[in-house]
Amino acid sequence: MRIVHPEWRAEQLSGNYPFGDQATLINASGRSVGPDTFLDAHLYVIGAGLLYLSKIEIESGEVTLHVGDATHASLATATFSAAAPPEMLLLQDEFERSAGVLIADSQKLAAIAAWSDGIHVFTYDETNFVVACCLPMPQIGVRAIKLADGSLFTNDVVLVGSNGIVLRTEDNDGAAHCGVLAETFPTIRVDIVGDPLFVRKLCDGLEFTAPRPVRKLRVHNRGQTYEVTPDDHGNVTILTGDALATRPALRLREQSDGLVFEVLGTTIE
Amino acid sequence: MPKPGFFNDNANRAYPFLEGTAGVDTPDQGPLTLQQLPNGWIVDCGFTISPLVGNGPTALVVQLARVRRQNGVIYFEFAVPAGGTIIFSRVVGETEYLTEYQDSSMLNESASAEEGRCGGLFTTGYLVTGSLENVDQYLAEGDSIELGESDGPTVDPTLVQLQANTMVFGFRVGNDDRTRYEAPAECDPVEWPNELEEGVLHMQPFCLAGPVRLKPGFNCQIKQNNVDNSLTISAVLGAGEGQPCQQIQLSDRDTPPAGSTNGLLEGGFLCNEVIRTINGRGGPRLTIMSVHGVTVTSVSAEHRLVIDVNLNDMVTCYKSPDDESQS
Repeated sequence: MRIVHPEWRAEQLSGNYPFGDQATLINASGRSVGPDTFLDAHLYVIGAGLLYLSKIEIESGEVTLHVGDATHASLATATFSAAAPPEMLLLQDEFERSAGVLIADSQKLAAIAAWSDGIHVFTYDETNFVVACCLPMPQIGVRAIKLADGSLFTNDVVLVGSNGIVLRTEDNDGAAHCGVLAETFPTIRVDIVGDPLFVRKLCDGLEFTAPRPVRKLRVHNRGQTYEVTPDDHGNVTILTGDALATRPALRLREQSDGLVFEVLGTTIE
Repeated sequence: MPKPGFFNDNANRAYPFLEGTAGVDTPDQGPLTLQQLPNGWIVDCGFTISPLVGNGPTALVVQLARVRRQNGVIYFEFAVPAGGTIIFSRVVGETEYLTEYQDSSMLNESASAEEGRCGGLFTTGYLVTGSLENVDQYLAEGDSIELGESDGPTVDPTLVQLQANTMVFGFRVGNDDRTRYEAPAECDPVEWPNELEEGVLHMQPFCLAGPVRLKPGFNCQIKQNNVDNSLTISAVLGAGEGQPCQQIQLSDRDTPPAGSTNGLLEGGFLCNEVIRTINGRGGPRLTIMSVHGVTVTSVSAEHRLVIDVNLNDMVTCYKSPDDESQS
């Protein structure tokens, strides 16, 4: 003889599970989620308190179940098509993180999907989940890195310095904190130093042509040759005459587009 | 009469497996399939899936893939999402309702073998076994029960917890390659050591975890707002460690090109190595002109400019001795 015990889900049909024993399952408008619509639940909403089914939103054939706590009515949601109610509903929070699973009787869920369009609100006393279904998920540590544009980064976060920003790691030598020795703190150092050849990078898409800079002037004069290199600022100075000639005829003047050599005197007409 | 209790109840039904996937037509003895697994062998289990696995329904699928007996030990091998395996073990004759916690094997070996992975490589689980007194009837020493064509024992999804996108394991730090000097087409190419290819990413081979701090370096300001839990990193000239006096390497591989005389990492020129201005006038085009008495010619092929002070259009006169006597 073999002893056969009722299967887990079948055993829950006789009670309010996964809702609390005292939950009424009926809201003020008379909408009932029924004792057997939901057969099981496992909820793990990050940062939540005591959870309950806060509202059922129906719009244009789409049904959204909201799970919340006393502070936030909508901490996690699960959506399904009224035309095809599933047996398993995956809950996600606003950041699309897993928040739990609801197991339902799809036929009874279809009856809920047939409610009128709108938001059907419930209170904690009406649809609280039994705590055995709710796993506390405190918000400790860094759960994610969020940017100003809403982008969310989790798991291994890769930080890359680019366009003149350099990231380095070093041992922290700051003050101790929270009882932890300072030297145990890994540190990311952010240096903003620029990119010397940034014009090359900016113009790369325009088929940048590498310039050939003039690096020195080689002067040939009366059989002698010498090279003139720029000073610390990259400047070369050309003078006419020397200190002995106070009023040299040969003049060199600068104008907006270059240099002009001329000799002062009367020109032939 | 059966003793009351959760485990005792589960010993007489498929749970913690889905109904119809375990305990189906279990024979009294002899070889069996996993689907026929005696209900009393496993009375509870639960799994927390690695955060690296996604959020979809398939992430909730955990199956008992094999039961084997070797050297007096029964091994229960569960297949978890993303290719990992959790193996629990029981000595034959072990006490009832023993609880064991285990981690899976590394998920997806090729991906998790990536250098410097910060964490999340494993799925964890627990197993509570019931009475294994009848194991001799079904599993001889050295035998195993493998997952066949039909679905094997599938763990109830309410016993599986997903963690995708719920935490930051740590940071990996690196730098995009700098913009590097390239020689003009007609010049000898620049040679870079350390296999520095265009677009290489300079990544540090380790992960930063635990209490990580951000530090403002050169020209950097970091503001922390404890109200909205935010950090703002800004470029401010002279902030942080001030302005740098030397170039900063992106990594140990970041070195000057072969033959560099100025030690610049990007292979460019220092300010005093190129003529930027002549008499304060800069380029990119500087025009040298002549007006009176000077001729400027160029020999482009030889990169030569000739400035000839030849007084070619100037009136030049001098007094001859005859002129002086007549005056």
